[in-house]
Amino acid sequence: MEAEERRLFVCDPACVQEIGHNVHALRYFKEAFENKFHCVIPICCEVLPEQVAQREGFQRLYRFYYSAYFSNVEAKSEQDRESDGNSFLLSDFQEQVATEDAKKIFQRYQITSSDVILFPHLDFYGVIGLLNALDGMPPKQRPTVFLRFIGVMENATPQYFSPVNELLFRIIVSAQRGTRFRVSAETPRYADAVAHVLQMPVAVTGYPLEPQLAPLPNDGPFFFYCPGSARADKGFFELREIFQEVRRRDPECNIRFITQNLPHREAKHHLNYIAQLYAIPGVSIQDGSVSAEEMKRTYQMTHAVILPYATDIYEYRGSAVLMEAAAYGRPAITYDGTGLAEVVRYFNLGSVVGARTDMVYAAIDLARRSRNDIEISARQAAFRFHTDNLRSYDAWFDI
Amino acid sequence: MMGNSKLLFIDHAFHKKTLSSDFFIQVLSSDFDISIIHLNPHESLNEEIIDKASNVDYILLWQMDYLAPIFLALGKPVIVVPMYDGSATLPALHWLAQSRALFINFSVTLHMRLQALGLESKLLKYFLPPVSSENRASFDEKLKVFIWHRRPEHGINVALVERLLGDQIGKLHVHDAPDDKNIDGRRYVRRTGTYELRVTSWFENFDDYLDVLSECNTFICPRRTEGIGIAMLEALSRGMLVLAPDEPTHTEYIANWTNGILFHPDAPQPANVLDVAGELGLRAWTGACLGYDAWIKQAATISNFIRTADRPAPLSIEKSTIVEFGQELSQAFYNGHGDYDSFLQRHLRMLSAVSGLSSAEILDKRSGY
Repeated sequence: MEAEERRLFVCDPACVQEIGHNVHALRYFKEAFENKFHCVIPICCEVLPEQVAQREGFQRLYRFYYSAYFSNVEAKSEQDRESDGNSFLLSDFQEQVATEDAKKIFQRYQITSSDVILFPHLDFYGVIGLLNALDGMPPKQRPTVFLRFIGVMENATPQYFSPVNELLFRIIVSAQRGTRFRVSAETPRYADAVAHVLQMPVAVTGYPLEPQLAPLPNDGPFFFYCPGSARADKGFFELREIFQEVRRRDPECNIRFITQNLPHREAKHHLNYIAQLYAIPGVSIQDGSVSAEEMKRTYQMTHAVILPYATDIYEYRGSAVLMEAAAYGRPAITYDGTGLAEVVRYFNLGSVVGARTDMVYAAIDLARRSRNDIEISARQAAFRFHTDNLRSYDAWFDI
Repeated sequence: MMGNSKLLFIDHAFHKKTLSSDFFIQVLSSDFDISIIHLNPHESLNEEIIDKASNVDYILLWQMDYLAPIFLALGKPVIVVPMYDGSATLPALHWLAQSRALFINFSVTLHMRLQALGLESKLLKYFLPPVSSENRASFDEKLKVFIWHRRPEHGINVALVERLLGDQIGKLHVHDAPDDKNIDGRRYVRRTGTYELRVTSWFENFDDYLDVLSECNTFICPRRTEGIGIAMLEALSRGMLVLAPDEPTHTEYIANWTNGILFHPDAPQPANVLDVAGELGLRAWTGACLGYDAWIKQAATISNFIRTADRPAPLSIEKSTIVEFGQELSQAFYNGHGDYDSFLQRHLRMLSAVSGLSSAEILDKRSGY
């Protein structure tokens, strides 16, 4: 089949709001593969504001399966969430709705075996619904399914003790029934774990970001940035101790920090903590929601990022923030024991430390290094990461 | 050439004495023609004030937040500058009634609470110009402590200083000038240690105060909570060791044991600080230097923010009715939180009209506050 006849459907049922990496990520994947396919059709959740979807060229189709996990996002209405009744009865309501949505895609776009369906950061119900819908299609007519595991929405259901294992089991069953899968994961550790279960090769694919290397500010204080949504699992509640310990060792404030705040709804439960963070000399706090432009400006004015991510939750996971920092040429300091730490170590994207005290010393050491030296290292790391990532995507998409 | 917009600045009469809003008026004065009204507690709105308000472009309420619904009802763009010490415990309805106002907050705690209610708030962090490095507070053998007995009856007094610092005190200067003139501050000036004690009760001018402050290196913040905390900022800008109650806005300027010390005024624990006092003072001063630079940049953005204030449609109510409502509102406010909350609940329809929120939205937001 000629490449120009193939269509790529980039599917993200969890793309629902214009904060964090939600919209960015789908855009990245839409743009990254435009030259490989006849056309690329990104499909998001119907809850994403219409003007955002129009601006981005996304098709709003999926109903929202994850209200329980996003307190600030609601399904459009109870009526919209109801099943259309054309599907076989499943005990899990969300699975039934997701199956109907997948069938709707098949029908609307007349999906054929030359098409490719990509879940760039897969979610439980989106994939389960797809697999159910594929079950009703003769194997030879089925599209090829590309699944990319990033360790975020795989477990977003209360129905199973280990949702990701249920998902992997269903993928195995679907493959046995004739569906063609190509699988990747965001980190080497996760890829190895998934490959072990699926017993098929699993590629390692980072964020498909072009490097946008920004010159490192050459004079003035050394700025660390803690970008991305401020959350407990991303180490927001580690920051006060880290910042204070650095400040005690750097009373002249040669090292400064910029961090994003908690979202408004959550901030009110942590006012004392935030007040103390705000009180530390040399610390600036951005709003809970930061525009892409402001984030870019902040990357440009800062020198490095601090990612004190939780080692249990991020055991297999990577980090979009890490990939962005790498693309801007900003080294990261992160804790050992996570999926992203292995990426940092292998590509020399920064340094990996064992404990909070080590992070404090690593930050001080990094700030003392020559800026030129840091910049050269960061450029080399970004080059290695990017070229390796491109090759990995090429291999993954070599169908 | 067009003249500046007119802004009516309504302030608490107490600030006529403390001058604590002067810096803000100064910031606005190049962009607005400002007229000022100082209101005494319990002083009711009258037709003269309403007439003045009718002739200006913006109303700015400095700590007089409860009046916002009146001016919103008149169809005026309203900017509210609430203070943590006066407004932190006010009920949700108080804020929701002002939903169409713009807020300028000097407390991050209050700022985030209002944002959580969906109100538009700009956060500012004020700092005073720091002294030069050579004029920073110096630390030698023992501490030279300054305390202003503003609220000695609230537990911030000589006994507290002795409890906190004990025999680390070399000298203690007590400025015995309580806010409440009915309080006999001398009752709280009881020395049990062997340090040198000096007491003043009046400064001829501000420079006299600064002269005394410059002879000290340790500052005890005089109130449990603050709106901004100008006295604390003065001490930080001089690189003094600052000890403050662990309530906003102190907690928003002092990171405990990093650039000062926070204590619980009801259960103060001895603080062994002599070895680190100099470092804490240095960080306080460095923070003030950075903070002052940032404040200068923030100050330049305030006028434009004010100009974005919503101009609500005026309610079709007689002036006399508005004045009457304003008088009842003031009365309820000064009767205490219970009466005030009850008053607001009884006037939900009015609050809905001025806030642009339906009664259901008001009650829904209130329940989540």
